[in-house]
Amino acid sequence: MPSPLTHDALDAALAGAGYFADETLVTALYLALELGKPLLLEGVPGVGKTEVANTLARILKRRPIRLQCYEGIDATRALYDWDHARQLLHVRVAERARPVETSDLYAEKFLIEMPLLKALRNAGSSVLLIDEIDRADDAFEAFLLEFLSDYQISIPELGTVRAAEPVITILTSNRTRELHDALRRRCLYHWIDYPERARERAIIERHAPGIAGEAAERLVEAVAAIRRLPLIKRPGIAESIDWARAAEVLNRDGAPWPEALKRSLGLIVKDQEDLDTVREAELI
Amino acid sequence: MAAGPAAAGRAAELLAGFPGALRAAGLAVDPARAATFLAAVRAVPLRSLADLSRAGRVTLVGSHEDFPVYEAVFRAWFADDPLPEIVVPPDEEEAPPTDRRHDRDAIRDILEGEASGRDASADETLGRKAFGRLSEADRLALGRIGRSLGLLPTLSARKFAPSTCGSRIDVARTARMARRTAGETLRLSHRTRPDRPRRLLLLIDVSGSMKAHSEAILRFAHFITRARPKVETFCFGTRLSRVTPTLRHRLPDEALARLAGLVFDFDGGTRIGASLEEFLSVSRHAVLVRGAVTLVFSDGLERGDPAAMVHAVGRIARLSHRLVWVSPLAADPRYRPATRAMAAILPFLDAIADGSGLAALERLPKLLSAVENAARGQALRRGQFTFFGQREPPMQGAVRPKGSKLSPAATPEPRS
Repeated sequence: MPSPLTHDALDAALAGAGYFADETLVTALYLALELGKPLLLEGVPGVGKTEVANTLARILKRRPIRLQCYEGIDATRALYDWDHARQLLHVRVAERARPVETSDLYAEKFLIEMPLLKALRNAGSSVLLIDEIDRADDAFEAFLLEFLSDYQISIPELGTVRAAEPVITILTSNRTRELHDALRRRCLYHWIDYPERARERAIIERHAPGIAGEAAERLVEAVAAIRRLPLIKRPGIAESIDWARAAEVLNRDGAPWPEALKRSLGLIVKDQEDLDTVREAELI
Repeated sequence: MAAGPAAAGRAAELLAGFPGALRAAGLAVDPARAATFLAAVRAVPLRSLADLSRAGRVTLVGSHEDFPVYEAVFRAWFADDPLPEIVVPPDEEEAPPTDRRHDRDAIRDILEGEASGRDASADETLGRKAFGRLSEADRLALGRIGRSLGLLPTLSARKFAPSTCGSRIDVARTARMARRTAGETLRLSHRTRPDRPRRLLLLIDVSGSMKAHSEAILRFAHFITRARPKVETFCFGTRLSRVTPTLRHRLPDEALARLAGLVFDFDGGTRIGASLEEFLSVSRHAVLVRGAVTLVFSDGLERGDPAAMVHAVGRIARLSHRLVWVSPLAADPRYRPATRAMAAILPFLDAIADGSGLAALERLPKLLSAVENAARGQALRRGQFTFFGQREPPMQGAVRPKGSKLSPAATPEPRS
């Protein structure tokens, strides 16, 4: 599948849509489009893994389809289910008029499409996000293999559903569990790290436009310093954006910048012990 | 393009050989990945070596930990010419590709050299500490533990399963069965959430002061790791190591022999606090604590300031479903958890158990089943200990978090 955008056009489009990706991520996304392979994104929580898929859907003008994984997720939640109640009603109503064939019961209209099937059938107009795959159990990972390698799924009653073209698929994992190598092998892989200073500043200025130049610099510096502390939960990009926005609001109400940052500290550090650690370090 | 056919051939050979070089360095690169890599090289605009490196990393490496190895191999494989022919047209004489073998061997030498270094030190330690064979009494004790595995903590599964006596009606299944009988519902199917094992996390202190008990504890750990899913084991002394994979070995003696090299870092004594902090600081490990029943096998004799240990144990207690401290010292009926460190962590513990041998560990499953759904932090109430010669458990206030006045005679002093 040729990519609709060239490597550099993709880079520009991501930045234009407000996602500042590092070079490897752009390469990874470009290759995912060009080679028609799923892309597995790993990284600590809050570095924008999920956002990649949403942004990609936006710039390609496709519909994002999201499958949120959780412990115990199974085929009926991910793939398809039959509308049993409707099937029963159909039998009741239909048998008055004529004998009912079982094949009538497995018609299209009784099929409930779940995200994977929806993505297969709309391969040309969607971006599939399989979010937090590490939360699902091993069995579900194995179940995904057929989908990821051939973009097809076997449904006993209907036969095999195959996508007309490769489905653009992004998988994310927070690494709470090791994924099986069979799954990794089918995917391109990228590790998203915390952004370096300049990129974080660009992200913050984009998403919290009211924050003034020097304050933004100070905030980015503080966030970098906070990430170096031995915290229980180190803040991600989402947190630093929240912090910037909150400080901006307080600043507008008249608090000077350092004060505003200090007062909204709870938006970047969300654990009592961590708050103590950060306050002791006196970064701001 | 100035590139002659020979240069192009060499470039192709360089590229095609790269996955092999990674494999030689120990990365799991299968042919499918190699093919993806070659397709990627054709697809990505290659303007610099960094472009090539990125395309390779995305396609050939499947895990964050492998990045350093990848970078090293990439440098060794492509770095001789700052921009090889794949990237820009070559205009100089090239060395024949066979020269590359040299680098590949060098990489392998480096990696194997490291590995053999590890083996050597393992052998050395093995020489120092070898485990005995299992005694008859211990074998019987293990057998009894095996029969009481059913008492270990469970959790109801998220996923429903059909059941004859479940609490909820399985509508989908009922409907499917009704279709077989022409849409007539003859029988209601039920479903339930079956019990599944709750994770057990074993944190085992293998420092010098635990030497006499380590073998029994590790045998216990091996036994339940083999007998039950969802058991995770870490050993700590001066450093922390995850030993779950080693404990999965079928033969107990073999598993223990392998552990001997890994685990016994005797000199220096315990730094319980630092080890547990280290354990918690790795998010991949810390996530194992959440919802688990955690057993810490340690005498709790922390040297120096116990603050780090108290902090770490507190956090483990908050993350765990229940936390049980298993100490060989508790075998002595006069034992009181009254060293500064133990007194301070006491409010966090759900129970203190005797860990002096397999015969004592045999009672653990029963204790765990009692603790599993009981109120938290009841170690004092549950304790078989007597404080200040009283029979009753002391008032909460009697245990001062940092109290140093409680030092009954039977409590050994922390080693220094």
